[in-house]
Amino acid sequence: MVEERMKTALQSKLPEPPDGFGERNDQLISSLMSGREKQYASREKHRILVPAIVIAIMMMLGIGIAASNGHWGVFNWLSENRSQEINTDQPFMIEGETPFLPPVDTDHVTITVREAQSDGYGLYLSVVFTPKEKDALAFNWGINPFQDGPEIVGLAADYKNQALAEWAVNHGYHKLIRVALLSIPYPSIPKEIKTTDEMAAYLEEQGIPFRRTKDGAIQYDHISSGPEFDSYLNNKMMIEEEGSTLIMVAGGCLSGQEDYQMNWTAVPCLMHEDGTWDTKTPEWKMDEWRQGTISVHIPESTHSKPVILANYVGTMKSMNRAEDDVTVKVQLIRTELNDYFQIQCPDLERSYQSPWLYLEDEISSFARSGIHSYSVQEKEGMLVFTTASLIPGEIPDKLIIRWYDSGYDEKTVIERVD
Amino acid sequence: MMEYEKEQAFINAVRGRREQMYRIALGYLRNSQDAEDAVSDAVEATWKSLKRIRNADALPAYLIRCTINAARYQLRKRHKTQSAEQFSEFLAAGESGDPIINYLSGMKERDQLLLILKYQENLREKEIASILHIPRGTVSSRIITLLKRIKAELLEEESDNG
Repeated sequence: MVEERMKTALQSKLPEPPDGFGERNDQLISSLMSGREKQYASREKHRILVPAIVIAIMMMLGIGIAASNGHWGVFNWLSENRSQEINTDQPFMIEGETPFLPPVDTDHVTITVREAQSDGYGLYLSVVFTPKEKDALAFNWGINPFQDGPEIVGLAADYKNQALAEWAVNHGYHKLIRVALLSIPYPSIPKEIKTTDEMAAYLEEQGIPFRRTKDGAIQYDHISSGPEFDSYLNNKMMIEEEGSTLIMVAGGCLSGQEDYQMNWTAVPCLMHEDGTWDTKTPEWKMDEWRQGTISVHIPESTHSKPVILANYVGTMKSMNRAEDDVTVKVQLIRTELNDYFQIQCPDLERSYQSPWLYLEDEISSFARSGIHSYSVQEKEGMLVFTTASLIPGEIPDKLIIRWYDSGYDEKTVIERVD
Repeated sequence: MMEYEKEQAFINAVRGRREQMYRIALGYLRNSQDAEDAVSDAVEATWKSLKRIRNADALPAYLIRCTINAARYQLRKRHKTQSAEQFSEFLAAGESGDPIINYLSGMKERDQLLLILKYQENLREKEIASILHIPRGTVSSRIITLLKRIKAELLEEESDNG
């Protein structure tokens, strides 16, 4: 009886979404999908070797430098959000060398990895896509040039509500080239693999770490095999001279990793022959879609020694009384490039069930500027989550961590112990 | 599951559940635009986690879980707290006039959520367990406990009213 009353009361007049809700939601799905279309394109391999040309850079923390040509670069990007207020006894120095790569020529664009930096926790790249034709304009994948304005890539609009495509035509560009850079984190599992034993054999052959759960299932897919990133809207990006676009990307690293591979993709879109833009109908040249792979090598010897700013310890209590509590240790680490929280969880079973451990939003808000890097790896019987994070003005005395999917969103306070 | 198949499952799950997601977000946020934003955030968050989701059948529950997280995040960001009075206003929108709503609005958020998922959104206990990441038996026993408590309070009130 109470059940029926409850149901009737709650369902008597369900709130309706506002007009156009479904259409707007479809548009969102469409824009998300457009960033993934590239996954299905055929791949062509363009592997380049890292040159022996190296330039030693020595700099103090906070002194931004872009690259040898003085462009805006990785350090400018990182220092935009990094707190300068935490003092440590040790100044941070880049002790090693920064590799620079020769440009890669493709049909539509020349790709230049202007900077590649790593500190063993995160990978940071500054990559420029320069169109080969003078009247072409390159832009990052997440942008819709027929809806988004030129401000999104750091350009001044000629008038209010101007779309990037309109701006391009007005400034002599008659071709748009949509470009993207994305990591290659996971191998695709061949279709013919049906059983867990076959899957285990395949993963073992590929060298992909995996675990078998108590019920025999195989879990592997949240353990990154490399840095994960893609160039998208929240990444730093800007259009430079001659229609080239600069994209900054960040990804998490696994310890000991020195080689990083990534996919690039480029699809041209022709503007109207008469140089006008009035029908708002893009003509994407899908038959001219190009995609390939480039790689960078950053020796581990170039990583400077990290400094541990603080240690935290806390107990995560389980909602399920039958389960033991879990002691979680967190370290706040600073390198010359960025700040990181490294969370060590000894309960592998539970960690695998809820891998989306993350810090309270105020701390992890770095992600919003596209400088997010995240990695998970199994190390010495523990799961180690490393996340680049924005540290507030001073080192916090306590942290709040949550399991992303935890029942009822129980929070755990982690106290500083030194 | 191949990526393409997983993405199709994602689209189907979003289209099938977005109105439900909107209602749940609205329950937290009281504002139509904010609720829609929370749905968008949840869709985007799920998309970004798609490669980590092993079983496409889990997508609807995952979407709702992300909606709850997105709505809570918005609340925290705005430093707004959810008062029982506000929740009651929302529930009163049902215009049922049933005093049972008053008991619901006085409950802890987690208990309200449990009952809303069960009785407003008609979700199965298995699915609720999946959304809240608690054992199915716990869902069942908590609902029974909550209903018993409401029943006792209703009887007491009716007895007081003669």
